[in-house]
Amino acid sequence: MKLTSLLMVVAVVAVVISAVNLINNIAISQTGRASEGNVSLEVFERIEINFTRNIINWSTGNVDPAQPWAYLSTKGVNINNISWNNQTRGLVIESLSTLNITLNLASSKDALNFLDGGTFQGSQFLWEVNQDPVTTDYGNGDGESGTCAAGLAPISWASVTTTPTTICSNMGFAANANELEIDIAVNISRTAPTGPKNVTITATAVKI
Amino acid sequence: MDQQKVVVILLLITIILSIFSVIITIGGGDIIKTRTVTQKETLTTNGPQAGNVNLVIAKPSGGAP
Repeated sequence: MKLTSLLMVVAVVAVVISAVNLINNIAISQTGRASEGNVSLEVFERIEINFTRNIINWSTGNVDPAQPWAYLSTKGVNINNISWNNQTRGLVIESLSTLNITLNLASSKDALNFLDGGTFQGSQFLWEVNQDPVTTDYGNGDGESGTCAAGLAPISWASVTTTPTTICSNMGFAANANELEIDIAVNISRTAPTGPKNVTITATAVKI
Repeated sequence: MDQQKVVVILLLITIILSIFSVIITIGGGDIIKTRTVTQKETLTTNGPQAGNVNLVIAKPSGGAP
């Protein structure tokens, strides 16, 4: 066989092999190969709390001069009150988180510094927490039942503190069970110094 | 046609077919790649939030202070 003829045979064989390989690759790319499928995702967690009622303003008034003290509460109770506004709703805080949280409260001042001007006069600054959806006792029920699964406190009047206090150790985030009401009461001594009184209550949330 | 020319043409065809084959193989490479699952946890803490309590203690308008 001549060399040229041999090259011809080799070339034809090469063409056939390449053609078969090309067709095979095209078929594979159209039908897919056996492979592993994987899902890539990101899971975001969010902790977000919000005061839906963030101010209680009793405005201006004074203790009945014939009495040693005046008592005001956000449950609409007013005793020996001369002209302070009636308040029937407390602070309301909701969780917009995507997981259960522990909720803490702290006040910028205690009774001594909020009402008594730093010199003890016997005034009291109190709070209590509820998750009642309907009016109970006095005042409105702005909470949502089932919000706090554990550790709701204080559920009766307790002195406000400047150190963080856990008011719910397991607060949920369901749309209809994510709100707590914080009622406030003050017992103002007649000897408390006059003037504007302001205090800020700060809430912080911690992932359980 | 001269046999040598035929051989050259056939070799050119072979080269072209091989190039296409390589392109398709590279292009379809993603199909057989294994991707790593990515799972991220991002924690966003919003707060603190604050509420305010205000009142004014006025001087009594009459009687003993």
